[in-house]
Amino acid sequence: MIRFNDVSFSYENSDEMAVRNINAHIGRGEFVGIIGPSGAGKSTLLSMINGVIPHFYKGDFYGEVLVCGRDTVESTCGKLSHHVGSVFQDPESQIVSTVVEDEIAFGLENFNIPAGEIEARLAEALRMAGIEHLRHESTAALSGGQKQRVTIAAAIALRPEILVLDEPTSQLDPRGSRQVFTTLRQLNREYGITIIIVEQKVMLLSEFCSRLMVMEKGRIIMDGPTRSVLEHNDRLLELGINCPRIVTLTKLLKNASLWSGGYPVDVDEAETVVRGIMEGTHDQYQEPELSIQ
Amino acid sequence: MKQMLEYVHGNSLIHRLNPLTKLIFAVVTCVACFIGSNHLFLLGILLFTIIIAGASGILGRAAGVYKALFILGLFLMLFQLLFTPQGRILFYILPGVPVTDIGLGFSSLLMLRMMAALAPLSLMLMLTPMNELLTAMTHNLKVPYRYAFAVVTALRFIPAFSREMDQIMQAQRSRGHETDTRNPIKKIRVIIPMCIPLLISSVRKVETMAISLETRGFCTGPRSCRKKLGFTLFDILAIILVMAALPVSIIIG
Repeated sequence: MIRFNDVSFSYENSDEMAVRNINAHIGRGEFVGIIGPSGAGKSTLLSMINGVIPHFYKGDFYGEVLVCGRDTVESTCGKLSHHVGSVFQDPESQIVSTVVEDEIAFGLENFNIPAGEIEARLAEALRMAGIEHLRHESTAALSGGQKQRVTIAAAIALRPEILVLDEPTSQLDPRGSRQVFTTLRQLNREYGITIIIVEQKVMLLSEFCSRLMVMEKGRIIMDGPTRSVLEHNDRLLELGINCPRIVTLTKLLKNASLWSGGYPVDVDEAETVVRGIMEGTHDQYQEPELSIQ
Repeated sequence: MKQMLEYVHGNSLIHRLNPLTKLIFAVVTCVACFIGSNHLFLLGILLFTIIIAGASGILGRAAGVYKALFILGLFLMLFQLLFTPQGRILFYILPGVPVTDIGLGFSSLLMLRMMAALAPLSLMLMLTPMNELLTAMTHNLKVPYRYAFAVVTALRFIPAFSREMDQIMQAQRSRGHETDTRNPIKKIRVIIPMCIPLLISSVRKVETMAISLETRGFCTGPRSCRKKLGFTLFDILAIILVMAALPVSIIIG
């Protein structure tokens, strides 16, 4: 679906490569999280999928990026937007209309979709993003989480096969962030939309993504199923990525030879692990919590 | 400022008028205010706009607009008073600064004209959703979409920038930057350093918006329109009523 063939890119007026020698393939229906320190090239990588690079930000582009079989350099942002929906960090400046329904219809009108079909797609996008009740609201009056879901709805109204999101929860509280991720999971599972998200909140990534990419200095240094990437938690910590507490806990359990399985990715799994240890080894260890510490 | 331009949601008869009708109302009354030089005529127009605000149920929000216009008008009037020495002297505002009958008449006319000309514009913006205005401009007035969009977006960004400015002001205030001063010259000196962060953040915002537009197919080809805006009988009546202001303004002169 998306293929990076030995891609490197440096922005105009910059000597340094923002990303270098990227080789990756993302298949249909994947839910990919990208994480890494700031300046690692995460946003650059995303901008290559929706065509913002090289069509909006210019620079030296090496290699090729294929999105749904199209070379992004030969296509345009507008053409690519039929396949790729984009959501950016600051919802405020992405919203171009004053009313929610107009915001969602904006892209559809740009693509010259007849009025009757716009209505159907508008209703569908509102339902998929779970914001049917906000339809007639003024966009200025929404909360951060609601605004962010409006931008997601606006992106999915164009029925993209791929959705790229650049830190969509950076301005949201924990509850709003979780809502956004829950919406994304639904889009991914029920509608088969491929999701690629750059995010700093590692806990949410480990819980919701099936695959993690870790970037550093323009390269992808780790790429694999979430569970196996989390095993390298020492390396992640070196990069300044705090592992989820459940991973830290499991690591301590492993060090104490209490657990030898894989890493849990959400709290429920972690609970199962801990309960298993407590029940299974209760006779041997009077207070397993103490031995962990 | 932001209240003067932001759309107030409602479902009154006036809200439902074709945006073009409201645009005509704003422009025609504005023009009529500059043709007519009669206190009563201008007062009548002002009263008419208040009736419209009341009929569309936004009188509460519009009151703020009238207040702001009144204060602005009062300043204008005062300046005009001080610099019109012709005519019969009524009284002295300051020693050596007379207030004359011509000055009073002229300055109050200026104040009324300013209020009566700006109130309909502000009302039009408060009663018309931006996107409807956009549709009216592109479909009825045949303004190219790209330009109409720029105009509407500029209007939309005013409240956003005003919020941004508030935030910057507060940030500076919290670091001990004195922003409250009544001295207008000092005030300007206080505001200038805040314009730089505002400018930078605006440019950033605009850039994100441009990308957002690019990725949603802005101006990639012909454009469809979700809502059809039709003219009803009320639109026609409203336009006739508003147009009548023009000959009246010329006759009264």
